[in-house]
Amino acid sequence: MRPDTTELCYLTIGEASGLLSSRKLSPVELTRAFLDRIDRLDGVVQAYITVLGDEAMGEARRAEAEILRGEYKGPLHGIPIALKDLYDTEGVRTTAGSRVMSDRVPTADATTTARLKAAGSILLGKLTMHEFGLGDLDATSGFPMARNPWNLEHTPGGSSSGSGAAVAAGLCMAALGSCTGGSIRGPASHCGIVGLKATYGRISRAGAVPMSWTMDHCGPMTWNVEDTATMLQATAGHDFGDPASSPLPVPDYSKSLVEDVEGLRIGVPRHFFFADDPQINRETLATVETALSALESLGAHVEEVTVPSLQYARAVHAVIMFSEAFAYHRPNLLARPDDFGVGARSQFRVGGLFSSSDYLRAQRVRNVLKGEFARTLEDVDVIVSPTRPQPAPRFDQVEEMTISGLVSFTNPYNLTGLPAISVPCGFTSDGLPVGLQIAGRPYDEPTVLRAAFAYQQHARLFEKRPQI
Amino acid sequence: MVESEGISIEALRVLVERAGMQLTEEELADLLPIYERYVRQTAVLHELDLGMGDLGVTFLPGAVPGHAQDLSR
Repeated sequence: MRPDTTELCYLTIGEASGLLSSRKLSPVELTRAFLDRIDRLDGVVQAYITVLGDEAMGEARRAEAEILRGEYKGPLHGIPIALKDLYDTEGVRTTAGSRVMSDRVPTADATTTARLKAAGSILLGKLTMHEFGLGDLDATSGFPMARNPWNLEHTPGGSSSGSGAAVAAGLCMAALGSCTGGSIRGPASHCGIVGLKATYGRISRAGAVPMSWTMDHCGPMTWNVEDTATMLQATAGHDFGDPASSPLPVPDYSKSLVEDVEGLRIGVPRHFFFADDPQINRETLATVETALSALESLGAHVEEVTVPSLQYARAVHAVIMFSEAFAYHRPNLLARPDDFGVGARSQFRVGGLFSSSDYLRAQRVRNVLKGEFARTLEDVDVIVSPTRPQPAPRFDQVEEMTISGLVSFTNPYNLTGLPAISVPCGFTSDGLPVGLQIAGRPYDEPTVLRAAFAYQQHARLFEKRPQI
Repeated sequence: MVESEGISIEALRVLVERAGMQLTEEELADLLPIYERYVRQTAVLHELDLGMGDLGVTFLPGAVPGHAQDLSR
């Protein structure tokens, strides 16, 4: 039986690509279903800043013709996706969620945009985000705030708020987020989807509006691990446009999708991620403990590890991120400060007050942290923790739970550049998703994906969709 | 240089102007508690004994803009 319109929007990339390649489903029909759903629901979810209705239908017709001619390009051909609104799109406004860039229309695609287009995907539109990629929600930025499809009174997390909300609500089949301190994994955790921050240098950042050059990462957000692997495959690889891009060859990530963690060594830094800290939600920890037990039952070995300098990660991250952000935003902060939201303006201004000594000190402590993780990952294959210390906050709780006030479980991997994924691992008693973070060695996305896939297949949380 | 906790508005103004910004009294007052929070965090980093061996930031004479470097070295 053919899927109905809602079912079409809840297909995974893997399921849809099977139907598209066998010509049982048309990209035109699929894209129309998503545009109709966006039209019906996005007034509530507010995941999109820009919807590219006519353009998407044009791309869908082109994809349909190509497939009918036997020119099928691969698993993203005809797949409707969307991009966080900091990825440059030729001829399409790209705002980075800020009035500062509200009229900016790039003349070229970001490398990731171009690669996803070349793979045959259909761009539905540009997604809501926190201003310039900051973690804090700011109602003064001048842009709509996305809502969490699991409970519209709660935030979807940030900064890739629209990316998380759109994937969870079935308003696109996959999205790109970006991440300087947790902006992919955080919304993925809060929205009950999968989000991957690949190794620093693995995915090009050329054409993505920067915030912090040494910590910015790009990455996919999808409904399941297989789709994340597909998006990673399409976007990974060397790019001269990003000076940090790695020339290392890109493996076939589909080979990582095996349900086998027998003998996998899992390290858990309980001293940090499970600390007796009122900021860390007990229900979240209990959910993650259950997930660790599940991984053990699948044959993995779980052991406690110690990464002493994790306690400094928050300070190191703040100094580096805001110093680098100030360097980028200084001209606009001086010339048109009122075009920034209150939060971004204040945080970026503070970045200008750190001294060179502060910045270099932070980089040196960062190096110590990097060394500690490297030594830990000689003894274990992956490091597992909750993705977020708390479930998604209500909008009226945001003030007290800003990124600067709440311990971060994700920014250590932006500091170290290590690959890290968030995969759903359960729900709180209020029905809010909880994410499991799995991090690995540099460029070892295959092991990270394998652990996430094996857990996902065991937990089968992908079978539950938000009621919206 | 790290400022001590309890920085005055005047001291903050000097830092702000050194960074090229001109802020009103109200803006300075709004910025002060945010800056003080980060100063406290940053001070902890300066108290760590890192020795002299690790320079933290590496200069690569062979790296040329537009030509990617191998970060896996």
